[in-house]
Amino acid sequence: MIQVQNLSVVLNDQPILKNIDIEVKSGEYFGLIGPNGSGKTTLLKTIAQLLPCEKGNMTIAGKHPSDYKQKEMARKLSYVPQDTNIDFDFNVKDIVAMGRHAHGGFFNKNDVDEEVVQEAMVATNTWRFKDQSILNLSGGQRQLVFIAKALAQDTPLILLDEPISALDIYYQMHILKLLEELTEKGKTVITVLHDLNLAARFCKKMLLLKEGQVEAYGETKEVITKQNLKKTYRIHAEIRDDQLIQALNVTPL
Amino acid sequence: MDKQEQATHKKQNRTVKTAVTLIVMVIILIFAGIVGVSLGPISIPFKETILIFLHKLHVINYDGFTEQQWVVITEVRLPRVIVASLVGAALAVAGVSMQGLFRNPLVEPGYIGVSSGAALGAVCSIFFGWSAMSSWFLPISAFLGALFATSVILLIWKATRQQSIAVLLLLGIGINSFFSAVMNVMVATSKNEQELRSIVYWLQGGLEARTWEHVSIIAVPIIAGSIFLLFFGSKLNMMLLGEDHARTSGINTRLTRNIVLTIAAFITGAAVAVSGVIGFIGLIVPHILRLIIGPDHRLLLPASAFGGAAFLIFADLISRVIIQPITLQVGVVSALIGAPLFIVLILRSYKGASL
Repeated sequence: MIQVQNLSVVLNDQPILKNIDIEVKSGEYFGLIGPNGSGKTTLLKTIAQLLPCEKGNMTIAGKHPSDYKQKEMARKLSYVPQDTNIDFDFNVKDIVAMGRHAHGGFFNKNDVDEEVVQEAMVATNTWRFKDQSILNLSGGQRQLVFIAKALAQDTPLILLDEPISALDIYYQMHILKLLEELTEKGKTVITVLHDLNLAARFCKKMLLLKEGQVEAYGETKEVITKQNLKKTYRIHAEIRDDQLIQALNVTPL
Repeated sequence: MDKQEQATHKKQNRTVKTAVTLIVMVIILIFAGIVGVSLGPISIPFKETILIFLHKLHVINYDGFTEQQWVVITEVRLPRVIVASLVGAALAVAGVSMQGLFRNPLVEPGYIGVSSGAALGAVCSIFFGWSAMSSWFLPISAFLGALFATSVILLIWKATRQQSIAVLLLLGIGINSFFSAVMNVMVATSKNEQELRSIVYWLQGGLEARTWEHVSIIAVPIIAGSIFLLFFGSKLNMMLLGEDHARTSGINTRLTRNIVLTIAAFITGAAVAVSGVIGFIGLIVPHILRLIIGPDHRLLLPASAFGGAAFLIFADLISRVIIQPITLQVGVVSALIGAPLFIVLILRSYKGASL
């Protein structure tokens, strides 16, 4: 789905990413982890074509990004940013419906779109406040709305930047499971996560970044190791295989 | 089934809201037009005005009017009211488009140099005496001035690396002060009283003695430009969510921005070319409408066109009748109403202001 080769990104004369090589295959649940300021958001934005890359090569679904028109690209990938602040008084359903833009013609709007929008909102449990103003929602509710917008966009690749940072424990599980179901249906999910336990539980493959460089990359078990966490996060952690949830459990000591 | 019904219901609600809003705006505009044509030094009853209108449109055959009423309405007031409505619509549509583009309710067309460029063009044509040669020369040179100023600002802006909105607005402020300095030099060195008066007069913005010729100069550019901008409603909505959202939802933000800015400059230039500088309409009308009908540009754009038109007709009317027999400039009236509202607006929008 995505191939990144030798990618470097420079922002305001500061090198942010250096020589990143990753490949994310279709249907993968891929986690981007790393300490604050390690370049996770920059990498995600570069993949979303929101930032220019200084050097290196990238292909999305086999094609170079510059071979896509803006709308074609929006039918390939959707993006949920970290920041969900909005100053304008749109109602929730209108915002989710904006995810359908890339699927419409110049005079878009059809009934299929209505159904897709509703489905995305029901799946994220946002249908119940569809007619409310986005300004009246809490940070967590807004986050759910923007996830719904990305789902409504119905793309094979979904990029999410800390999509559960403002969610309570119920919705954290709800959203991560929802993404898991999507990968089972063949969609590719790349998500930045801060919670290593949740990342280890859901993501099958991972990239651990440190100061803009790849520290570890591969299967979750290869990435989440004592040594790696010590080198990047400077923590001593015990890592156990939790039989109850069949996933790695990270306990900082 | 239940949910589907709800969805259709919602959709119908939206259509109803759109229809009602636009019908109300059209009624307000027609009302403004009739009042604007009826009132003045020679007052003509509303009923008479309506009948004369219908006669002129060949809807009915009516001959109960005097020759004087006919001339006052069709030759003096009607072109003035139509110019007012076109100019008002252009300024409001340009304002609302730019506010959407820059995600900032305090932006108006003047900020990218359109108004000051047009003003400089017009002042040049008065100063160098071109305006005396043909009545087309002043509007044309105002329009060229607007185009020139906006192109200069946009070209410098595009050369900057980040192309940030703050830089664009600062460039606009820079160009505006430079142009007004140049105009001050012209005013100071102006040789005759008459010339000086007409420069000052023009700078304040006015709609006196506008004829069908003025209507014919601006009607096509303004109507075509405004209709063109209506198609950008949903794109502008998405731009409001921010650059990242818009781009990943499939909007070519750079192209959209360039097109919308050019068209906004174009219709503002056309408006300023015949009316002089009239401030605050592009700011006040969209803001009031946004408070009433919300930020959805698919509705806000057409509503602003009608609202701007009605606003300027009323402002012009006030300027003609408030201190009779003295006629205030409509730009002065618009600023008298607009400036206090603008200050209230800034105080209220401190939350969203990112200037």
